[in-house]
Amino acid sequence: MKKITNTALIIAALSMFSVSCNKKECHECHYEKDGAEVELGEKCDSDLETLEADGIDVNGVNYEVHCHEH
Amino acid sequence: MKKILILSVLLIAQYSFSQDYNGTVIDKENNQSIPFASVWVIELNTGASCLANGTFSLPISLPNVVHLKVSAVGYSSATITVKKEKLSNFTIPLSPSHIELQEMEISTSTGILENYSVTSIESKTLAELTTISTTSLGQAIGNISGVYSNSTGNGISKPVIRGMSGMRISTYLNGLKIENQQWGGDHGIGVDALGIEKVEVIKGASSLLYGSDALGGVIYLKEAEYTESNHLEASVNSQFESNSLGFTNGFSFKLAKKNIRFNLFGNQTSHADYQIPSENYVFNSRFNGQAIKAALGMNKNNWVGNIRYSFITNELGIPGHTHDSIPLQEDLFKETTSRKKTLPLQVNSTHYISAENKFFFENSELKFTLGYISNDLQEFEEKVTIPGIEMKLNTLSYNGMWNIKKIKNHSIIFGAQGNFQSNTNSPKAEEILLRNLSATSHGIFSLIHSKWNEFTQTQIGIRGDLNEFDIKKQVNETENITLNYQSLNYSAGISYTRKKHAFRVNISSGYRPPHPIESLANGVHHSSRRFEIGSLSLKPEYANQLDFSYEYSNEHLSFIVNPYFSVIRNYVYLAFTDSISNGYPVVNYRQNHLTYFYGGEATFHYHPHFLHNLHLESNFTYLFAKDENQNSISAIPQPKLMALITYDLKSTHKLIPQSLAIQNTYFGEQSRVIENEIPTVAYNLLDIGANWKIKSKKLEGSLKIGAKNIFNSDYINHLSELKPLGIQNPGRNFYVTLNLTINQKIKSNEKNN
Repeated sequence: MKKITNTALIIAALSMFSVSCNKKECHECHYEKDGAEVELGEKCDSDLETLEADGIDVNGVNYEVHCHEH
Repeated sequence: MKKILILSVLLIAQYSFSQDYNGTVIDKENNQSIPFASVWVIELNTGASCLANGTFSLPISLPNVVHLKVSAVGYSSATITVKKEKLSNFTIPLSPSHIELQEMEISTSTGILENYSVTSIESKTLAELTTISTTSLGQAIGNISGVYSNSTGNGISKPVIRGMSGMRISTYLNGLKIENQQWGGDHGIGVDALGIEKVEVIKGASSLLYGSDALGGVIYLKEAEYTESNHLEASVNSQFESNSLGFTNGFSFKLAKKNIRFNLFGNQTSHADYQIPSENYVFNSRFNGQAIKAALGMNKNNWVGNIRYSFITNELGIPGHTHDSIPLQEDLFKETTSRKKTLPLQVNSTHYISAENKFFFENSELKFTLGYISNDLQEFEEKVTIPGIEMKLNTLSYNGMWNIKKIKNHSIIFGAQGNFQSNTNSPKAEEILLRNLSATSHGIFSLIHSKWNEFTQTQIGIRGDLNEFDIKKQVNETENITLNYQSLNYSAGISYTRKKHAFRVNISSGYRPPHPIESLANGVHHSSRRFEIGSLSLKPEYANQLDFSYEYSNEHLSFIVNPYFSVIRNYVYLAFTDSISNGYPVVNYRQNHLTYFYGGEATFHYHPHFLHNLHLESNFTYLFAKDENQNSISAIPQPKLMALITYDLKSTHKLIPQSLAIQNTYFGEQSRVIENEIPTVAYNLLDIGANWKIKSKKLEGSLKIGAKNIFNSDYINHLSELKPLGIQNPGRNFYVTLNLTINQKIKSNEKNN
C-alpha cells in the first residue's frame, strides 16, 4: 500500500514539475536583405528575444529578424 | 511551530471522528440482501460499497438530511432522502430490473430530481459521451442533441447550443463560471476532459440560476467524485490517436479518510498536424497541453466544504495562416507532419481556484462559492518571443444560493451571483485588440418550485442584473469610457408527469450586454484572421424563448421530442466588408433588430426485450434561423442525425471485448448562408469501437480500440473556423485508450465515537 501511495505521489510531483518548468527555447533566425534571406543560425532565450525586439544592424542598416519557419 | 502542529493534529482528529451510519440493501421482491451495492452520499460526493452480505457502513459525519443514491447491477437505482438519525440498521429496498434506460438523478446544476425538473436538462456522464473516444471535451459534448462543436483544427473547440456560442453560452465548472476571453471564436472552452465526470446542458435562455446572459444555454461540468470513505484509488490512463499521432497521458489519485477527501489529476497532451483524406497534413494544426487539478473536501455535521484548484495550459498552432489574399495550397497543407512549435501560435493558460461551502439545515440548504480565475492569452504572429497580443483576464466571482426546501409543497431559492473582472494588456505585446478595462457584474434571483399534486409541478422565477464596464482611457482620450446596463428577466414553467408520459412547457427571457470587444474592438485578431471593428452604439441583446418537451418512457423505450422557438432583439453579428486592413479582411460588429431561432431536438433510446444485450440510441437536431427580413443568419449548424448501436457481449474471456459500438452521424446540407459565407454539403461519418474490461484481483480498468471516420470521408463542418480556407476536417483516425485503476481500503486505527 505504501508503495502505491509513494508511486502515485511521485507521478503527481513529476507531472507538476513538467507543467511548471520552463524549457530552453531556440529557433533558427534570419533577416531579409535585397530580397534574399541571410541566415543567422540558431538563437536561444535572451539572444533570441533581443534579436526579435531590436533587429540586427548591418553596415549601419537595421534589419528586422524573423525566427520561425513559415 | 509546535503549537501549529498540535492544532493541525487536533483539527484533523476533529474531522476524523464521526458516527458510523449503517444499513442493508435488499431486494424489494424477495427481501434477500444485495451484495456489493453502492451507497453514495450525494451531498459529500463520497459513499461506500456493500459487503457480500448486503450491509454498508458510512463512518463519516453527515448533514441532518442526506440524499443517498443506491445502485446495484440488475436493479433500478434509487435516490432516497433520509434523516441521519434513521441511518442505523437502515434498510434500503431496490427493485430488480434487467435494464435501466434513465437513472433517477439529482441535477447537479439545479439540485432538483431531473424527472421533476421544469426546464429541459440533458445530463450525460463523460463515459456515455465517449463510448467512441473523442479528441477533446468539446467534441464529446457535441454528441448531446442540440449541441455542436465549433472548431479551429483539432486543438480548439467550443460548444454551440441551439446555434449560439461564445458569450451567449455560459460554461460552469463545479459552480464557477469559466471566464477565459470566451468572446473569441478561436478561444476554446478553457477546460479539458481531465477529471470531468458529468456534463449537464440547459438549453436556451432558461437558466435564471446561472446568469441571464446565457441566451444559448448553460454547460455545467461536474468534476469526478471522491473515492469511497477510507479508500485510496490510483489510476493511469493513456490515449493514442493515429491521425495526428496524438497522445494524452494522465493519472489520478484519490484518497478519502472519514471526513477528509482529496483528489489529484494530471495529464499531458501532444498532437502533431492532423491528416486529411487526401493524405496531406494541415500545417500547424499541432498542439500541446498540460493540466493539473486538485480537490480537497471536508465536512463536519451540517457543513460541507470543497476547495478546488486547476491549472490548464495549451500551446495551440493556428492552421490556415497565409500572407496571400488567395491562399496557396502549399502554405496550408504539407506532405509531412510535425509537432514542432511554429507560428502563428496561441498560448492559453488558466488558473482556477474555488472554495465552496454548503450548510445543510433542517428544511433549507445554503451554498456559497467564491472563485478566482486568472487567464493569460497570448497570440504570436510574426515573432516567437514578442506576442502580437497578450491579455491577462482576472476574475473574482461569487455565487450564493439559499434553497428553502419545504414551505408546504413549495421550495424557494434565493440567490446572488456576480464577478469583478479586469483585463490588462501586456506592454510587451505589439498590438491591442481588447483595451484595458475593469468590469463588474451582479445579479440577484429568486425561484419558486411548487408541487401541486402527484403529477403537476411549476416553477417561476425572476432575476435582476447590473453590468458595468469601465474602459481605460487611451493616449488621445481625456477620460475612461463607462458603460452601464441593467435588466430584469423571468422564467415560468410547468411539468405534468403521468405514468409513462411527461410534458414540460417553459417560457423564459434572457439578456446579454454588449461585450467591450463588440463595442470597442479595433485591431487584428490573429487567430481569427480578421481586422475587427466594434461599435459603441450596440444595445444589449434581449431574448425570449418558448420551449416544449414531451417524453415517453417505459422499461425498454425512451423517446423525447423538444421543439422550441426563440426571438432575440438586437442580435450582434460580424459583418464582412470589402476593406482590407493590415492584410486582413475588415469585419464590423453590427446588430439585427429581430432574429428568430426555432427548431427542435428528438432523442430515442430502445432496448429490445428480445435482445437485452442490444442498445439503440439516436438523436436528431434541427435549427432554423432568420432575421426580420427573412435573411439567413451566419454560422447556423447543419441538421444532425446521430445513431449509436452498442452490443454487450458480456463475455468473461479476456480476449473477447465486453461491448461493441457503431456510431453513424449524418450532417445535413446547410444552404441558408449569408453573403460571403460558403454553403456546406451533407456528409456522413461512421465510427466503430470495441471496449474490453480489465479485471484482476487488485487492478481494474478498460481498453478501448476503434476507428473514427472509418470511410475517410472528405468533409468540412459548417462550423469549422477553417472552412473559408477550404481546410478539411480530419480523415480516418484509429484510437487506443487504456485506463488502469487500483482501489484499496485503508486500514483505520481510529475508533468511532
